[in-house]
Amino acid sequence: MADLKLNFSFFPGVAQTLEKAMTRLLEELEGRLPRSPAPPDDDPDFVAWWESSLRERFAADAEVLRAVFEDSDFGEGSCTVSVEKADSLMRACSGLRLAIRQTALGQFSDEALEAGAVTPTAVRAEHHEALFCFWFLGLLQEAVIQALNNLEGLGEA
Amino acid sequence: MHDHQETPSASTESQTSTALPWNVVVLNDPVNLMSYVVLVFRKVFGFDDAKARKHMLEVHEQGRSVVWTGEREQAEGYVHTLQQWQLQAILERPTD
Repeated sequence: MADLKLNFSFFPGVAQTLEKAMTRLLEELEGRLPRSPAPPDDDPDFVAWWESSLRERFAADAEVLRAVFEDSDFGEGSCTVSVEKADSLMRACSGLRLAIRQTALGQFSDEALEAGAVTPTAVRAEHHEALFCFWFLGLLQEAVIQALNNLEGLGEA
Repeated sequence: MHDHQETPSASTESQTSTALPWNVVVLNDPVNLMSYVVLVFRKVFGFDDAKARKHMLEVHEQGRSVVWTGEREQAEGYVHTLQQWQLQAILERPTD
């Protein structure tokens, strides 16, 4: 199957900063879920299975995202993702964005986030890297979706 | 999956309850991109692009969308899959 070739334009040093920040965020999430699960039943065994399987899924997806940043080409502004791993990559981007929303961006309302009203000046300095990761993960996810749509001949998403 | 100790009347009620159609509902969140939600609907439910966009817009504009209705076990499976895709999905009791 075809690979997806994704390209980015980075200012010098940005790729390394993103890589370090993402790695740290993924480590902080290790063994946890990006958001509280909502199992449809309160039977304890069912809840335990539900949460465990979601954690396993996210852990596997996070490994695919980690591999993107560890790819030697990432610093040069590109990465190659197999179509088979594209789903995992997109899920991981979503999961990490959700986790960032809960922590670094927790002070903002849903409306502010949806309106794109969250800017570096509105965020404390210690959360700037998380904000940039949030944005980049959105760009990465969009790039994968566009590449998949192009493969299917759907063009603009 | 479930280990119930029930009286006959409660068991009948449980069977009736699981036989009723259950709704799989996706709720809005401020993080997931619209294009991503469309893709997830297409992949999980096999919707064509138009139907996936219709449901995505319902989520975005109305806060929720009933994306599937059917028997409970399959509905649970869909909710689980959607949560794996990091969407906020719940199971909803059928309305009387």
